[in-house]
Amino acid sequence: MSSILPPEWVEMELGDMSKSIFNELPLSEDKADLKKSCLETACALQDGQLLKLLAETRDGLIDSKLRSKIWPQLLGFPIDPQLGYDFTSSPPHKDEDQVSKDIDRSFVYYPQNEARKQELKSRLSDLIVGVLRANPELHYYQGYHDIASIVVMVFENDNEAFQFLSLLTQFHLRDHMMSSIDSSVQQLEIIGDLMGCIDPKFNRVISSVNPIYSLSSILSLFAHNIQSFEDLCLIWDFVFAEKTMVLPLYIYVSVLVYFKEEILTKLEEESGSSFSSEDTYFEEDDLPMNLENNLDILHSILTNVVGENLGNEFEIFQVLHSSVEYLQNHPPSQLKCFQTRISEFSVLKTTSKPEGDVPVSSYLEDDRLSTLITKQIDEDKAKAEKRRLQLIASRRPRKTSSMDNLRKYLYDRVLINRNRKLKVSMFVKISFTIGILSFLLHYYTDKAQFRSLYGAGVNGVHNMVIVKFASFSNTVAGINFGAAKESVFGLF
Amino acid sequence: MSSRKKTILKVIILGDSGVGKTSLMQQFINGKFSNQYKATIGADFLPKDLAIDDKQVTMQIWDTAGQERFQSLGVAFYRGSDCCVLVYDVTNTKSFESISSWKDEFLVQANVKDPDNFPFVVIGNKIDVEENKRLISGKKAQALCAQLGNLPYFETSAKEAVNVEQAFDVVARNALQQEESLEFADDYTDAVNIHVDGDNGSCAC
Repeated sequence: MSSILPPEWVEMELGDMSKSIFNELPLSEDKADLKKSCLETACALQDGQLLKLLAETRDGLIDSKLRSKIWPQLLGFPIDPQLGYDFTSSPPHKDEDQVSKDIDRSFVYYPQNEARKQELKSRLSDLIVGVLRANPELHYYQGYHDIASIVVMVFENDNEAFQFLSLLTQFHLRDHMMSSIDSSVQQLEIIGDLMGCIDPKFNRVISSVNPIYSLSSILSLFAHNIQSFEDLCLIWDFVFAEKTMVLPLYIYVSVLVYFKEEILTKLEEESGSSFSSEDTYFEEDDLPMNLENNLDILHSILTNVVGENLGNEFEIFQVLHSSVEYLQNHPPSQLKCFQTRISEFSVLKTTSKPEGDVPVSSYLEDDRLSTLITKQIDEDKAKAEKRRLQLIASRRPRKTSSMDNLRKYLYDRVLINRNRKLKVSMFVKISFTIGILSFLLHYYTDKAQFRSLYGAGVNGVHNMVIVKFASFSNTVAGINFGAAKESVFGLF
Repeated sequence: MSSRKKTILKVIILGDSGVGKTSLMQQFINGKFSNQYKATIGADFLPKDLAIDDKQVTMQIWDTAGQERFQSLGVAFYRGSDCCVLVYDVTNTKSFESISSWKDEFLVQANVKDPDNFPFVVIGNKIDVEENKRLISGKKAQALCAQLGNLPYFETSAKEAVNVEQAFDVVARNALQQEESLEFADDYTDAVNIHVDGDNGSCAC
């Protein structure tokens, strides 16, 4: 390896070399030329290890010409510049309308030249439509056009651009191209889990919002958010050198950690609450005080953190180097959500996984890749169907909550009681009426009996009947009263 | 409590991809138009302080992605909104036909307490185009808005700043009304709770 290094670098160990290139700010012109020739030689010799090292040092892969050669090499993609592609004979992809809307709005930050912009847009359209028609089972997403616009700028040769983007899509981006956005959103959960390992206290703030703040950065490999083409290419140099799409997630965490103070200061400014002092967000349990009312503001700060803060090469390198460090110290296989939430067919566990080096060629042989993609799509379809059924179930007339049920129960109970009380009181009234009547009858019969002892006995038989009826009535009244009393107390 | 804190009116702009949601927001907030807005991915808001009849409020205007696959993310953003702006492009029939489904989707995902009275405002954008390119007439749009529950309707041009202020003035007023009615509703709900609890208590004795 050392034979292809420039003489002045030969004496250094590889580790030292990375430090030396890393420390120089900026890379002087002659050093850049030296690095270029070194890159060209490494490229010709297909020295992957050296290419990776050079990609991850100051100025990365230097320019587009080198990148168009070295990116495919880093990723192990076989590219044949002579191999053409023709999409005109294939049936249109269902998302082509969306593609044309997004192409109208591409190349916003660069290039400045209007004629070049128009030329690039035309090439971009053919490129995206070509890849989509070649992969009709994949769905287009907004943000894919941001990736494709970088590809079209770096690869001057359309055939190379097509092959590169096709393979990048199939090997590294396909998770984002399933029928729903769920598989993308699941990837984002890695951010919280990783932050939990690196800075648990800060994670308590970060995790109070849904990680979709990072969605645009992850979907577009930062192309949507970074406004400088050169800066973006440096990030891509790193990502392709590490050969894994888990790195962008680690980069996001690294950005959050690097700009932690800025984030907390801004949160304080915009919400008018204090978050940075020990007693607010360093407490052990519960959501940090005041944060609950400011989740929207936090989301906005976190979604803009890359575009607004990541501006100079020094910071970018700091962030990128620590992201690679995190990847070594906390590989995704150690993260809980990676084990439980990410599909076994996901790029992160197969063709774009960080550990284990499965050569691209082995996937391209024997339809191994297409079988994998088919399995992933089948799984996605099954999930989509399940989701559809759940959605239908959840959108039926809203089920009452347990509180609502309790309220309804109590309300019904009160109504029933009222009705029952009404019935009971009628019952009691009748009973009392009978009771009073019996008492009167009894009194009357007593009188009658007294009279019958001393007076005419004509009414004797009649009176006896009355006495018997009265005592019967009394009994009935007694029973009724008992029943009424019982039913009144029985209510409770 | 609300008197101490500044009133925040959360407004969500929805509509198909490319109808001009970002342009409308930028025109209202910054008074600018550019042909060069990137496609919106995910969602983010811009704040604007304004006074509605001497009441100081901060409007938080949320711009969202129009592509259908991003729709399911609404659950994370719509909660607590005070008004929803439904935008279509007067030169795009499909975007007009989507208005009603955007409305339904919003109501489901925002988990609105009183869906029949939640304030929506419909905007037909891009009226600066030549008349022959226009596919949706004002009359047709008015009919739809009447059918959807007498929603206020505005025709705007974010490009030429036509009617944008007026539309957002209504948005702000309706949002404020909604915010205040929610505060009232919270009090009211509490009162009802106490009443029910009381009833229960008296029965238990």
